[in-house]
Amino acid sequence: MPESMNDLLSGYKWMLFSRLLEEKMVSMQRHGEIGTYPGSKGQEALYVGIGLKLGQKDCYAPYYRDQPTLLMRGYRPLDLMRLWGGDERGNQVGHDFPISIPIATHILHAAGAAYAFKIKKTKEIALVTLGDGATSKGDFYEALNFSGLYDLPILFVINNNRYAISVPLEKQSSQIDLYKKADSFDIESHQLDGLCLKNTSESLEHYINQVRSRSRPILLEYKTHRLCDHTTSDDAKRYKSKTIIEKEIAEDPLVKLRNTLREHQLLNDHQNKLLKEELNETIQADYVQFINDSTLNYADAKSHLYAELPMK
Amino acid sequence: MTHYSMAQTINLALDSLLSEDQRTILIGEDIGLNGGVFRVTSQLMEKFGEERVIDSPLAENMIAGLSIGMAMQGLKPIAEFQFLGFIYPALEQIISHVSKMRYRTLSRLSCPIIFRTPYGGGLNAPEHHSESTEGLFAQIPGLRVLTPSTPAKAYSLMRAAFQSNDPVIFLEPTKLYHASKQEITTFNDNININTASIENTGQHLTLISWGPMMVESRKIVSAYREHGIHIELIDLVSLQPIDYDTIINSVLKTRRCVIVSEAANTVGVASEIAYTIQEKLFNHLIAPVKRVNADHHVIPYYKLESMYRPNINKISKVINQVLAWKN
Ligand SMILES: Cc1ncc(C[n+]2csc(CCOP(=O)(O)OP(=O)(O)O)c2C)c(N)n1
Repeated sequence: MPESMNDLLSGYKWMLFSRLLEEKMVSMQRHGEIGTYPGSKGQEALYVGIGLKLGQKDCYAPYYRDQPTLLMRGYRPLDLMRLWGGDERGNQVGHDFPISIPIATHILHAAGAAYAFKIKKTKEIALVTLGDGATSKGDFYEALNFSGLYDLPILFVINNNRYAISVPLEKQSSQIDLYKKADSFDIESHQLDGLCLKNTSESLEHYINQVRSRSRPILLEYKTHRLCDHTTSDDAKRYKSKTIIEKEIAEDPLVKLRNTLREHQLLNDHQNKLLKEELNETIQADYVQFINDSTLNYADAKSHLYAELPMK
Repeated sequence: MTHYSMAQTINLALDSLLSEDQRTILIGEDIGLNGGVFRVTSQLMEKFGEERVIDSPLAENMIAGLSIGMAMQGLKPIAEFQFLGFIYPALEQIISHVSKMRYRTLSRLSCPIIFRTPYGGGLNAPEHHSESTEGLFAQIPGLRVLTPSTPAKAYSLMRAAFQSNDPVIFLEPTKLYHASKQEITTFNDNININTASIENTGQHLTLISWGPMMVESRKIVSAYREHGIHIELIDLVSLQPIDYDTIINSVLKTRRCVIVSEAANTVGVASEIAYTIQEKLFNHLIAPVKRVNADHHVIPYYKLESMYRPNINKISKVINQVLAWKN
């Protein structure tokens, strides 16, 4: 089996893992077991591509949409249940930056990290993900400006799912080809298909290498579909027509990849069923642990506000 | 014997931190070649290079956001905002990330950053250049807010802030940068960022102040001493957290307290201190705790500024009321 096919099969497992976890999380939210939850459905090919290609020691600055990559970088389902279930211990995983909720603010953190790599003369890079809506905010332009100015090793990855909650791209941005925004900063950029894992993983491998070897920022805009509501508190039917929703569902990257793997005899329906069962068992085990957990403690949590606790 | 201005001692402190710790990075507008608009960073870029002393693009939110990323990758940024009146674009980064990062990651990551900025009036400066909005930051759990009131304290406090590993808003009184030089024989690290300093002991009244208003407060203490009235003078130093041990012990003794600051009158650090004193020492006080702040008003352009800021007359009037208080 060629290397790339291997990647596709392991990538498929991660995509499926995230999709199944998302189903569980939505159901948990509906049962009041976790709070508001933002899904990744439809965008897994992009996020798994990142997970496959970003180096372990690189710095990843994610936002709330990034569940599949988080799973690949050390988050267990339990951590994500905590993350969306009101427990900060969900942010205690690995060495990456925690997910950013304030839109676009974390793009600057990634640029700061890239600056640190540059002056420490190490080979790591920073990779930051952001939505199309985030490209309206000053932080985005400020980070591009500074990264271009100092030739920072940073990859900007836009998950362009064409909606910021309900606001469509046409109302969001005077330039709807978002990758072109990098032009005025003299930063290389490309617009790519984010629905096909082969495409995302190959392009990410290539551009991650480019950023690393040339120490130059690059911006990639991946076109995706958000097949879920913005979060569990949202109802996409309020702003997406039935036609659009149906068209997007027809392009589900997970289904597309499963078909490819089936065609190449890498995964038959029986194997797929076993895989699903195995992944669901993992999720279920963490779910049981999450539900029965009583170790969260306010005094412990409070001890983390300052490095040195000030007087009472 | 050498005399130093506060701009010089802060410069020396930054110089020492850049020399002693390779992780130290300075970032801010005009801080490189120009040495900062108040010359606080004079010659540091020449000495430590453009990579470690960054003449940054003009974007305050960016300065804060980059500092966060640098800090979370192990650097120790000291960022300058040119004036407190221009820090506001960075509030999102400071409030939403800097103050919360350690807590929300349960100490996995943190933001040990010093945000330096000049503040306060008294310089006949253009609009927006004389703000005293320190209360905004003192309101934010997770931040430390420090302000020196002499050149010697500025040196030690900057170095102590650097050692603390907590994010610090370091407020430098603009009026004192080049005001009067202080004779300093040896520089030392004998300041504790958690403790207020008692500059003068006395038994008749406790006067609490910080930063630029310490100048007026010191003059008042001397003037009253001539009349046999001994005021205990506390330089607060840390506005968040507040050293209540020192304050309560003092007021326990004097039973009278006046708090002086240049910030607008309501919902500020002075109000907070007054609240805590009445809560802890209600039965003990001879007179109500009084604040002498600026009016609850935007700081007027400089021709009216002296009407707005507390001055020796205004402060003395309130002190006299408190001293003469009869139930
Ligand atoms: C600074 C800020 N403003 C508003 C919000 C509320 N909000 C959360 S997600 C969102 C839309 C973001 O859209 P986009 O960047 O396209 O990412 P997507 O959710 O589509 O992946 C908004 C407005 C926020 N989190 N942060």
